[in-house]
Amino acid sequence: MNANGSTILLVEDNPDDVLLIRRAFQKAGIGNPIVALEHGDEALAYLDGRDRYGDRQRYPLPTLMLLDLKLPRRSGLEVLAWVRQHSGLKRLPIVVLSSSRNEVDINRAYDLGANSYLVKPVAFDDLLRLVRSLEGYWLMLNVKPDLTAA
Amino acid sequence: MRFDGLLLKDCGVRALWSGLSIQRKNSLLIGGLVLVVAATYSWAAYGGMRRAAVATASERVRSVTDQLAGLLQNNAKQLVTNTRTMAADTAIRALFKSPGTRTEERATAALQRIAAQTKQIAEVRLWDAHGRRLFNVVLNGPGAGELVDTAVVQAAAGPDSGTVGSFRAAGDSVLFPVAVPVVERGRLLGYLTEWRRVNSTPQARDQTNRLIGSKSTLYMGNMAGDVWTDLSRAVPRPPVDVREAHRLLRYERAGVGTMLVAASPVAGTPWAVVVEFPWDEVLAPARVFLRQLALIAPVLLLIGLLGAWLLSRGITAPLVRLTEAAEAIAAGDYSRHVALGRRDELGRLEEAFSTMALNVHEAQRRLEEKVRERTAELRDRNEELEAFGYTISHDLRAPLRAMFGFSHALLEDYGDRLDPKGREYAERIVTGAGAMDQLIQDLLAYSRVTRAELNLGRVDLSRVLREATTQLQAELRSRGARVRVDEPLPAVLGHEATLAQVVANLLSNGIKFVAPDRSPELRIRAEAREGRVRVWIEDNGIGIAAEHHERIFQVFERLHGAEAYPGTGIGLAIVRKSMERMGGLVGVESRSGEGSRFWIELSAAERANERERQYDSAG
Repeated sequence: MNANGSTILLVEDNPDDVLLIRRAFQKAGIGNPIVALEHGDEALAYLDGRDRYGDRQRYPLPTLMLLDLKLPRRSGLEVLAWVRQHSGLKRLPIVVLSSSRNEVDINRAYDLGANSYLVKPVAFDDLLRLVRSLEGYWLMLNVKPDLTAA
Repeated sequence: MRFDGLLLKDCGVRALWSGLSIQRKNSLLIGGLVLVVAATYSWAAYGGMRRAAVATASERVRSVTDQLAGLLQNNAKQLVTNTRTMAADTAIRALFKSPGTRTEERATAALQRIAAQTKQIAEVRLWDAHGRRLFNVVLNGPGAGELVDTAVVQAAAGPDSGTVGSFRAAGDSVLFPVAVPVVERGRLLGYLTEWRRVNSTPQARDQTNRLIGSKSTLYMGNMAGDVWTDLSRAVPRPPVDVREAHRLLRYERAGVGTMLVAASPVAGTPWAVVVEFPWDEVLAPARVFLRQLALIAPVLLLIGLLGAWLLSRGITAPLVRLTEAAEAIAAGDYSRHVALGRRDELGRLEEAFSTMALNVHEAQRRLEEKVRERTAELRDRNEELEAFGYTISHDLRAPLRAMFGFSHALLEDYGDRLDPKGREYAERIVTGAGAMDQLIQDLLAYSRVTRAELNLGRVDLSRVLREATTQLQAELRSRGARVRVDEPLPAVLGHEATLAQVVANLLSNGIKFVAPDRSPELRIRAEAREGRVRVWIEDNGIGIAAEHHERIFQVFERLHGAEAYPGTGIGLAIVRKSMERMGGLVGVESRSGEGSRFWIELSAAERANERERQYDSAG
């Protein structure tokens, strides 16, 4: 099992949404550390351990990635594709958290190997419910894969 | 009935005629024309030929008859002269001067000498000056027998006269007398009558035939008409009055046919001559002409038909090619070119046709190009619109989430530090953001149902209803609504998800627009309507006044204030658009305060019909 533990990687460019999601996690009483990244390139750098993310102790591999689709520089779908082709990362559970209900987006995300697709709710109560469900399923119930095994 | 039959037959002929190609029609018409012209010409020519033939024959018969009469007159004179010579024989005169056995023997011998050369002489009789018979001798028997000579003897009275008498029948033969006076030195001794038999020799007959023609027949007889002969034997009297002799006559001879006949009296004799000519012979040249025509006419007709056929083909073959090209163009093939290489009317037609085809092709090509351009343009616009929708859903909702989330956070985290007014404002922000979120969602749903590709298939209405009620479960429960479904529901032709949305919207409306003091009751039932299915969704709500029945299906149309019945005014617009996209209909029957009965109608799925039939036969 990977020892990197419990970090949740949140790839989201909108600081409002980051703040609201962080609050929802906090309200739900989920203690996992959340690393928020602004765009796709940064997500890739983090996962790859490049540049300033070279220190895996400070920037451990996450246990779950929450990925927005509409991102600057490199879209969520591109990040998804990159991860799924990367041998040390390809089993990383990725939940797409988007505001798009567009069928093309949804199907493309699943085609590229998203584990789940959730639409960001407007009402905060709904967001809270969503975060609780995420914790219950992905952080507690879900049996995690070994990312590094061949 | 007969009239109808005739009419039908007429129609049939007309249909047959109009069904013929122009080439055949032309050929038939020209052939018919040639036939009529040939027939008319032939008939006229035949008539002319016939008249000419009759005139020629008449002329000939007339002249032959007259010639024969002249000939016979000369013959009669010659006979009289011959007989006079006979009478001048000394042996005859001796007998008159001294009748007796010796003189009789000598006269007989002399006469027999003459008769040996002239076989026609049947008998010779001698008479004294008073008309008493002195002597007779039969020379080439049988003789004249009982035939009486008195009239002819009287006719011959006088010293220089001599005459021929009427024909007399004696058995098969016909005889006639020649009477001359016997004179010596101006003194009348008596008379001599010679009976001659009409019995022409083959040579004589040949001669006559040469004169009158082999087909003609010559008759001789008395002007009085009692005795007639064909120059070999007695024959019945020809049915012609010889006193009318100068006119040409036609009559039927039994067993022979129609004859053309002319008669002529023989001058100086009591005789008449009649020449008969068969009418068939008269007309023979005309008939020959007609036969030749009958042979030529089919050839003419054939040439006419062939000519007409070729001529028609010269016109119709280019027409056929033009027609084929036009048909090809009608079928969308513009590659067919017609080059007739003619400079006449058809050539001009071809030129005009080619120009037209070119123009049509060009116009069509341009049109297609334009359609392609427009389609691409439209596609671009659609894509823009989709991108716009995407932007709305993504970008517009992000600030909305912020508004909603932070006003919520404000209330939750700092609510105790706000006065009631401050809290109300924050609550209004939450409500407004929520309403706007709903609006955006509904608009996106409306635009989706407008543009999405809907593949119609068999949809089970019961399943649709289960799906819709599941979607609305929370709402139904909170309002304490009761939904009654009259099962079984048939299957229809539609798109399941869209239909579920439609039913959910209608059910949601039924729950929402109910007076506050009542709990909603919904009833769903279906009825079959000639290959279609109508589903009724009936509620016990506040109802809709008739004047609003059309308006409520339009986008953003609302009948109530947001306080009493909140909503975006898009739900029914989505319903109508969805039904349109599925080839269906939607409508409402309602009156204010009496509940509403919404209905949707779609084509029945075929299998549903089969199942119904099975139910029917089982029941």
